[in-house]
Amino acid sequence: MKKTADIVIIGGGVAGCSCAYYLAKRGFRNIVLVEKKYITSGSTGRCAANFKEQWESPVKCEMGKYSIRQFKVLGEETGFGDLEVVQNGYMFTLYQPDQVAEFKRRQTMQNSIGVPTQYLEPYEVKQIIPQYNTAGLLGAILNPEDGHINPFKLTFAYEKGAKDRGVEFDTYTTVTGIRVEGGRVKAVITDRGTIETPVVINATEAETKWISRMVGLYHPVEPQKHEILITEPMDYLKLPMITSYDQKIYIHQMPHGGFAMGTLNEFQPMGIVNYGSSWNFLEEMCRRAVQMIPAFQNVRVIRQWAGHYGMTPDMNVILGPAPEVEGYILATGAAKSMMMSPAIGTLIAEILAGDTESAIPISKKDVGLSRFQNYFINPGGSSKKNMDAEDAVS
Amino acid sequence: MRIQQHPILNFEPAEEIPFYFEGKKLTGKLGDTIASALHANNIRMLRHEHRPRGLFCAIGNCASCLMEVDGRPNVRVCVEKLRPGMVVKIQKGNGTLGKEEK
Repeated sequence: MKKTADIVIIGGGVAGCSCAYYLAKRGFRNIVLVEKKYITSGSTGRCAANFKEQWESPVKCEMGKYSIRQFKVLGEETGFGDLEVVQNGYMFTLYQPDQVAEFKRRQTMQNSIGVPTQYLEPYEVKQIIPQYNTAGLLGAILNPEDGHINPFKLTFAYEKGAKDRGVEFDTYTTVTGIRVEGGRVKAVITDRGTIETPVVINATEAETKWISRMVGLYHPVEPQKHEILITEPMDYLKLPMITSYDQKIYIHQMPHGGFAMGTLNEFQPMGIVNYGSSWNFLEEMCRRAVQMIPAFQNVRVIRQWAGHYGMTPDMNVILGPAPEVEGYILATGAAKSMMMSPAIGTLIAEILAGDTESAIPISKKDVGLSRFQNYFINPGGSSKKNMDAEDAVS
Repeated sequence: MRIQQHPILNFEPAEEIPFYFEGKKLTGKLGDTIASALHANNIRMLRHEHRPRGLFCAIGNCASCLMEVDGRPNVRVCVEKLRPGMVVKIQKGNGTLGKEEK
């Protein structure tokens, strides 16, 4: 384990590994990544394994578009191999007139910047997914370019790419403190020793606020518990991922055939990290899934697990330095680290390099911390806006 | 193969019931599971997934003996009781979602 480094990344999930890879690729040297358990042990390895580029804001759409372009080449670029990228689409099924109006408004915005979302009538949904129960359905929004990627392989590809470029990975190393002197980051203290460093990147997503507390700051990233179950494998139907805000579920068939179905755990308040599985979820999830696709009644559940979203007030990523402490940088994916990981790593590398140009046509202000000035007033309280944010289920 | 004599257990004569396996009419006995009726008729290959598969755990835990029964895929024949007139087929692959729906 190194005693000094130029950059220390905390968090061995997809966001941290992506930062390590893109920083090393950019030419930064002497990078150490510190992970409490093993690579992908947190929310990365527990995610629903899908990506999309249809978002509510142009900033996220651009990041999604860039990420999908990178997903297609990353396997080869890192020398890792196949990442199981499949583009079967991503469908929002709409049951309320105001949802239809909102998604049609988004569709206009998305189409204008090159995201090919389409509006579907219920009979068209039935053509694409013959098993779907269209009772009460008003319509659906589908983007055929969205799809599936294996989150483990993606993270291991970043890890390989970073290791090949000299990044040190310290797993089973818990960060216990960060030494700050004169408003500057000086060192990261772990249970296996201290690493002197001028720059710390916090890529811990759901546990961001506890790391930020080590430098005396509060950042508005609150963990929200989600649970997923997976069924026995069935024939691969190449269906799009189905999300319904009305029934608050998402259903996604993995290429091996198992259906992953997930939703948020409404019984656990935000702000706590708890990886336990619950009965209410299993019962409620099965009920909603069978209502949506009646054929699921004969399909057995294999297992279930839980993970966490890192909820930010506007459900967009937080990338960039904290102004109060020099050298302290946030790389929070806002529950979208996996599907936006190439954009996260690229933007962090650009921010650290001080670039004015960007590979992604967005402003760094749109992803920086400065947009949350109003949210620091009530630290710890999960704002109402949080819960209502449109991405509360996906 | 059916055990006729056993040092501890007694096998009472049971009613014979017909069923169909891959289009052939076979007979099992009342109280059989589908798998035991097939074994009694010397049929060991129950599923084909990458390779032929037969009984493995025989208590409903593993996925080795999943068969298509009356058009329904993924039936664990080791724990499913035989009923008269059942149509049993070797399952190829994982079974398709919604195939059994009329």
